[in-house]
Amino acid sequence: MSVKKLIDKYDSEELVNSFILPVKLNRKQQKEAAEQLSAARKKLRNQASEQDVLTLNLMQLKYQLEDYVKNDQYDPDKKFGYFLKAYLDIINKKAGELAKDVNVHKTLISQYISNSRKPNDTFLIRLELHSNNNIPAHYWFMVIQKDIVYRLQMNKSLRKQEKPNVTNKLRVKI
Amino acid sequence: MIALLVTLSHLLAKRQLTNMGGYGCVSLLPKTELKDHYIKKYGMQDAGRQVFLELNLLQQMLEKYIL
Repeated sequence: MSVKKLIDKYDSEELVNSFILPVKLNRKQQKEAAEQLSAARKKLRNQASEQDVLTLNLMQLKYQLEDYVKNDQYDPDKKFGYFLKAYLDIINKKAGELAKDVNVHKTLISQYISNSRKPNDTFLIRLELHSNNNIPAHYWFMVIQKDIVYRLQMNKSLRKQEKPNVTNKLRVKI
Repeated sequence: MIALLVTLSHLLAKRQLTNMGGYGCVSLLPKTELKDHYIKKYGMQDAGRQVFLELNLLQQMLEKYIL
């Protein structure tokens, strides 16, 4: 059925809900459409409050955390410190300022960012509260857990070391 | 049934926000006959030939239509 016939037959709601109707533009029209979009976006952006942008950037971090923990792939760059640094960048605060906000020593935040120390549950809960519950503590926990799981899976030397301590191992394989 | 547009826009909006944060934007080039419908029903902004969602409108779309 032609697009014209579809438009004649169905109302807007039905069309939008059920079809993707292609629109063809020539080069000049494409350029014009891109320029119009750019101008409209600029206008809207000028009206946006800092709060709007902060909210979206927090949502971005939340989705990135979700994506990373759900994804099977391990990324050595994406440890707890990577996401904590992203949080600091979004809220536009320095490590010392966050340390004050959540009542810990400044060096602790630096150690968390450099991944030289793992945060405890207390810190994760304080982080959750600091984000106004927008990023739950368990999101942060799952990032830490993913790193622990990966290192456990990859630890060949520990497996070799522990082999002599195991006898009567099962003979079946699942 | 969730509308095709909502499903696609939701997926795109989430992807855009995940990758671009505050700079995320979803736009589409509608048939002229349907442009008003997109604006009225989904709160999309008019950009001449295209309509688009960004900033808090993008966020509202994600919150309103949870898949």
